[in-house]
Amino acid sequence: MCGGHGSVLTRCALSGTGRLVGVAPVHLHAGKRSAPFTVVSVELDDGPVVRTLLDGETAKIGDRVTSVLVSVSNPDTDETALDLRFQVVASEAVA
Amino acid sequence: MTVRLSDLRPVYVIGVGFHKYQFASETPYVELGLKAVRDALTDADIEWPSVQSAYVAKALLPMAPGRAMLRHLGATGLPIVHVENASASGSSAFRHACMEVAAGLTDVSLAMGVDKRMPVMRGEALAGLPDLANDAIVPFTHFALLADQYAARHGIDVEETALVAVKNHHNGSMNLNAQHQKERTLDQILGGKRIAGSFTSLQCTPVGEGAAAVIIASEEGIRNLEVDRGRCIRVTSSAARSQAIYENASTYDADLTRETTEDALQEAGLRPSDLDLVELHDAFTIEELEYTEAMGLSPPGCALYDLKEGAFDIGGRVAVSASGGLISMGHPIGPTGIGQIGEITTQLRGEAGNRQHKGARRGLAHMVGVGAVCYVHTLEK
Repeated sequence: MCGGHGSVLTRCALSGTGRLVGVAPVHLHAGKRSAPFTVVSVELDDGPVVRTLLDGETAKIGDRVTSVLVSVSNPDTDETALDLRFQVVASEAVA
Repeated sequence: MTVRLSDLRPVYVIGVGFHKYQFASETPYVELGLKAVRDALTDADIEWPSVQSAYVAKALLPMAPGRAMLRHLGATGLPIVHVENASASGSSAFRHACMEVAAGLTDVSLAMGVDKRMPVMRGEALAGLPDLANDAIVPFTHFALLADQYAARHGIDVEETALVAVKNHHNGSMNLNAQHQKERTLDQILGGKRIAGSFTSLQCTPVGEGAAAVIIASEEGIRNLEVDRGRCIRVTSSAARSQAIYENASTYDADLTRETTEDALQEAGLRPSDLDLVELHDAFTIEELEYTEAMGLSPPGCALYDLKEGAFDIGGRVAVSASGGLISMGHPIGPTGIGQIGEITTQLRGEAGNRQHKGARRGLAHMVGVGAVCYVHTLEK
């Protein structure tokens, strides 16, 4: 229900698999992440569309992907965090 | 019962002024803003004390810069309000100034925008909801994803979206207020610095600094101040919406544009084909293709074809971003939406010089802002 809150909202586990619906290699970025990296838009098999980084070099729309946790270290704090990204499991041509 | 702007007293744009949009400089914002307001007063041929309220749009400048600027025109004690609504700040200021005049609270109001390059922080980053990678998805990356999707959806070569930039840089080359005033070939645009996806730097708006101002008035204001009626341009609708839930989660900017444009056209009693001029939020090339289709100026998937045919050129079926748009004229944020109104007014008056779209009678101005919010106004001769 749109606008629902409180007990109406429940947590649910997502399968972590889906299909790429958009790919953008980023050549220039001023934030704390340093380019190059690739941002992908993923239509999850469970319904929602999420956007995050690709774990890998190249990908194209239609590729099947699965979520992976990637260790990312923060040079400022020396801390390591796990970043949720997506990896291509089958390219569209062979899927 | 609620009313629309067009149900109230008629509102007209009677004066237009700009400070050129330019790359960041040492010029104080006061100097930028005053140049635009003084030019708008001169253009309307009225004196500052006749202005009864001021709407100052800014997105990046700090709190309340308005009075420190406007006092140099004379401390008349007029009410001043600041408007921040991301890229749509200027459009929002214009809408609310129009509403005040239309409602009869004032006869003459100023809507102006001024901004300088400043550090940007988005409210959403403080919303308390963790996200996966929003810090990695700045606007050009968001629109690069949309360009990739658009190209796949319609089977076009994504590099051809750069043709939007060829047209808009051509238009901007004839606009003395534009930040970029150079013709660019397709090869020059594609050969530029790579940014994200298919975008190179000349396919992205240069965010800089500048100012734009318009003075609006009721018929009573025009009569009392003996303003030249032949140069007054009527505001025929004002529509504003924010993002809802759409079938395709990725194309919300276009869906929001479609809804808001439909509201404005309905209010003005116009069809998309009635429009001679459109100034739209082309911060990135793909937006012109997405929004011209969303507005009904091209069928879905046909905007690139229409662009190549010259339909969106000055002198074409509908001149899109005759000013050069955000890509060439620039996007100082606060002023941008006001600048669109200034361009359409100048065109409808027939005073746009070598970038005049001949016979222009009806224009539409459109801005989206992060959030997302959308504003559409129509103006008629």
